[in-house]
Amino acid sequence: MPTGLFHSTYQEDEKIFRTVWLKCWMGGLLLFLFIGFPFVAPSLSGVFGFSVQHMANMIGIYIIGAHGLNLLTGFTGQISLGHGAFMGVGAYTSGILFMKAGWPFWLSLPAAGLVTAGVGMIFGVPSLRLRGLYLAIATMAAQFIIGYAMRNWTSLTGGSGGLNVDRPSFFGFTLDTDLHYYYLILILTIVATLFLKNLLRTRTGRAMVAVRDRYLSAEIMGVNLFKYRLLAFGISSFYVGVAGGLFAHYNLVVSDEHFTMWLSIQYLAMVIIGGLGHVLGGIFGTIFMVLLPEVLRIPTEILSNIYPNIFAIFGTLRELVFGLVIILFLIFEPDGLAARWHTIRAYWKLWPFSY
Amino acid sequence: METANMAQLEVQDLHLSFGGLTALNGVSLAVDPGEIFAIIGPNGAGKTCILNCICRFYYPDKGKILFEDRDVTQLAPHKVAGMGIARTFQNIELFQGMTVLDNIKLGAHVHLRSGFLSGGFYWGKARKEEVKLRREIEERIIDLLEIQAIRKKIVGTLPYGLQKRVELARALAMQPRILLLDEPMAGMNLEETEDMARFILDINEERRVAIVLIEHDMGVVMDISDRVFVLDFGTKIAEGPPEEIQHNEHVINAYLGGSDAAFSKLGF
Ligand SMILES: Nc1ncnc2c1ncn2[C@@H]1O[C@H](COP(=O)(O)OP(=O)(O)O)[C@@H](O)[C@H]1O
Ligand SMILES: [Mg+2]
Repeated sequence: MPTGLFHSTYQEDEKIFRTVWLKCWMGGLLLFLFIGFPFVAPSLSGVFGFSVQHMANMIGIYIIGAHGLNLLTGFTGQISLGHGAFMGVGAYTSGILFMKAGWPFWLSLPAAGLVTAGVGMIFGVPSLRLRGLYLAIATMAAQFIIGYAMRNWTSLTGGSGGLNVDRPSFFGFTLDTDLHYYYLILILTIVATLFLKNLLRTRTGRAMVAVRDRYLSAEIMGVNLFKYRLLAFGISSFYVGVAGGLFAHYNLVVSDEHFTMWLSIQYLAMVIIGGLGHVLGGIFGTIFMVLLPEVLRIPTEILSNIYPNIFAIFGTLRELVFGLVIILFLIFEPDGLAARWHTIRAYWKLWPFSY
Repeated sequence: METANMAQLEVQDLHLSFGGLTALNGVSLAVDPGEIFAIIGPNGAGKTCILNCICRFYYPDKGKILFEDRDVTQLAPHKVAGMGIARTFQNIELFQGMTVLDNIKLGAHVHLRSGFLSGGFYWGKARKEEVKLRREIEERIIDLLEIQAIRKKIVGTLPYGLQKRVELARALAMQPRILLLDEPMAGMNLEETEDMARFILDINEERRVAIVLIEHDMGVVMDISDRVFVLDFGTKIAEGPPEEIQHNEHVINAYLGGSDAAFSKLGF
């Protein structure tokens, strides 16, 4: 029957990982992440002089948040300068529900996502009227208002002293080591990535990209602009709220200083450097932004061992180089690391006939 | 049936102005079900403005628009698609960074039901819907418009003529009952124009879709339309079957200035 045949071929064609090669690559990557990496992490830590396991955990948490911002900014075209604060909302929500209300972690974490989604959507309402930089400034209000609440709502947040949060446990098993927590983060990061990828190839994601590219045309297709602008705020904030919850139970203490404007800007830098509008962008950008300061620390420390008296100079030098690298990146890779990755992959596909 | 004589789309006494400039000055027209209704007129006559009023991009100062007897004059712009009205644009309005397939899939937006949760997990409803959508697009649109070879191409990389065709494909995915085409042949060569005319006729005959066609190519207009509506300075100057329009003095004088070149333009 030709219809049955067609059906199966289109179904094949609609899959994310279509070729055997891709499937093998993905399988290998997963094997490495689940089994290989935890094995090599301790020896890598010895080589680099910082905890590679801890870095991987931070990267995983921030990837989830960066995916969220990428959905909003990269795919729906709305800049947010409030995602640092939104992450704080998630961190405090899960922390408070877990510590003060006695909720189990598997409920407090999704609740962190949902509460943050609600808060994000409230601050997303100006998107009905505002675009671009004007919207960015409006979302900046979230940063100030939420920051104020975190500092002054002492009975709930513990004020500037911060809130202590415990590691979660499942069925009496506590995730007390970095490695245990790594598996939790890894699984959630994979789920978050797949969800984003799927969302973008179905109705909702397509509508969001349409809103970004040509909103008049999207409207003609029957896309309700406001609904999708707001929904993007909701889903995006859910992501960053979950990231906040994960951070709270990992870092064991949360305070307003973790979720300042600086974090919002770092999130933006992650998705811009990684590649706006590429799912891989959130991943590459986060790895880059989390690792760069650590990598820059190595030569600084070597040099300060040789010339201990100019340690202070190199301390600031590191921040300078950090800024410089980002600027150079934006100049030479304006489309982000993900776009570069795609060209490299296209090159290797054709190799050795790629000249 | 009583409704047999009911017009599918009716525009009543449409007025539209921009500041001091009157773009539409009391335009009334009625498109019957299943017909090809051409609107012609010099540049700046107000043809595109009529479509923009129907699609709710412009808010007329006065007048009424009825689609299948329902007043759509106050509808939100994104609700128009759900009514069964689709259009293409004079200056292509495709999503340039997306593939041809994604553009067409977007056309079907109002006919899909899956929400973000089933979409994000790609479970049950969303997966079924996507595969079914893909098959329908392949069988009912891509094959009809002969764009199999470019389905995975990024729209922005395609030549102009093909982009026009993709825009028609996207409009078809909306499963419209009326199709508003704003200069679909503009800037095309002879072969592309002939292809496009054939597609329009196929769509009109096979799908029983009424078509409003704004076009400057008089050969095509006179060839394929059932009725022609002539607009100048925001007012109707003539309306009737093509052969009548070709011989209408007002049209020849007002619209074409009565010159010899004009006569040949009208297809004499
Ligand atoms: N958004 C607008 N703002 C100001 N004037 C407009 C606008 N849209 C159309 N017009 C004017 O209205 C008149 C009719 O335009 P249009 O409908 O595009 O003509 P055409 O018949 O060539 O499609 C023109 O004089 C045009 O300049
Ligand atoms: Mg026009």
